[in-house]
Amino acid sequence: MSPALDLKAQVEAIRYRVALSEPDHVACLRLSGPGAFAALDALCPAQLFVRDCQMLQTLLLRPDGQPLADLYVCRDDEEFFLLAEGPSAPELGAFFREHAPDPSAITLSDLREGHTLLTLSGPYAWELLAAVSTPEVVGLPYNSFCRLAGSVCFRGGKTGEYGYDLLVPAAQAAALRERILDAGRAFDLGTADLEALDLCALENGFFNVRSEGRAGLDPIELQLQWRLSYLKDFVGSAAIQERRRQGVGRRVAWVVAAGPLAVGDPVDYGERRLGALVNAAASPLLGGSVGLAALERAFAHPGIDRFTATNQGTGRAPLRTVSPPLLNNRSLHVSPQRHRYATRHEHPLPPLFDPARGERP
Amino acid sequence: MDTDTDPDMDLSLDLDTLMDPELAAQIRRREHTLGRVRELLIQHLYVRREPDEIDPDCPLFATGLALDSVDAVELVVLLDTELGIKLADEALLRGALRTVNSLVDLILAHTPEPGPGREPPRPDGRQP
Repeated sequence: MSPALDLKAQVEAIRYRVALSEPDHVACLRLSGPGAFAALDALCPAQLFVRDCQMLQTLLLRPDGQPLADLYVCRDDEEFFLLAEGPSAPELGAFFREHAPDPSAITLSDLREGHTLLTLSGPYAWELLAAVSTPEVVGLPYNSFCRLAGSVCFRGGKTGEYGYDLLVPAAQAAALRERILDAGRAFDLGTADLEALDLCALENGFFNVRSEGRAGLDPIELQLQWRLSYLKDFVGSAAIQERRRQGVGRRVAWVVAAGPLAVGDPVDYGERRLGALVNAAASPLLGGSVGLAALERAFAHPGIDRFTATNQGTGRAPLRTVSPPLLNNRSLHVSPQRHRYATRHEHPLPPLFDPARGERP
Repeated sequence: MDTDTDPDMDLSLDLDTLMDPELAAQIRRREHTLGRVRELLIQHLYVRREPDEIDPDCPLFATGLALDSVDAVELVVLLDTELGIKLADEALLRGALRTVNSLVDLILAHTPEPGPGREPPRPDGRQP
């Protein structure tokens, strides 16, 4: 890998060009056996309407309804790839053994033993990936996967930009990494670590199971109801149904502030305590801080500049609630049919931040 | 609109006791538009969810509510026919049609703020 870049340089690579990452925080497993579908159906909160080579973004919940894992279910004929953030592969194995209807009918293999995960993120990630693999990969739809010469290429991403996770046999990983770095010179390829990936996810409104997912909030409070179905039973469904029946008093809202924000900072409206930050980071491109606050639900709306956060270091300061995504992602406007990194200056794109939307602190 | 299953509409009954009138009016206007968007999604785009299941920051396309390109066209038509908002700027639309809340932002930006006495109706029918 190239020498480590500072956070701003890493985020700029993700937002404007391409960044290479090696996401060690993602568990990659393969679920097989005659009971594979039944096990997933019993554990997974979403309806498993997922076709061969499609990826379904969902969760795994604990019996108390709180998130255990941020999960991609990727159907591969009668078997499944599972890409999970949150628990380790052994912890996922234990969860499946405890909750699957027939644990003896499934096999869960840890693919990180013998494979490396390489991730390309950025508005021109598709072009670099095509340069080191095959042009056909450009046509890979969002939330689907394909095989590339012994590797598996998953198109997902949690940065708001084009994102590809390459699951590569360990014996081939060094050679592929070198090819990416070599071809990447034409794309001003950067690198991105977990801090940069997490910041981009926060700016774009993606769920972070390692931050707000560990704040004692349920999927209703986290605005993740689209990842579950109330029409099926799953691990945690009774708790979620009960929470829904009772009504939840909190909901997350994205915030920006000119000064620093930190997880745990209380958020107030005058003297009324509304909640606290459950995720926060300095955002070099926004020019301030971005955060996620769990607030009293009546107040958890965007477009409000009447609240304050109290930071341990800098004291009380105003913040504003906003709607994610906080920026106008280049990937929304870059089209593989019309654009190339080499000729990007011939195709000016809309500004990264729309002043009318007021996402900047 | 079934306010029994719209938690935000339910809550707006209590706003005046929680906050000052100006903020209450701002939130009530937003909740009214959010309720309208949920109604459009369910009744016209056939999103098979109850209103309270459609979270405000839920993505509209691909993931989230899983709308597709045909739905995008339908949404643009609905903005015109139901709300009188005509949008021709493709770049603006791409930014606005990302989540339920970004759609609400767009509608609010194209809707004049109500003057005194013309605020959105409360769910219980009383004047704000």
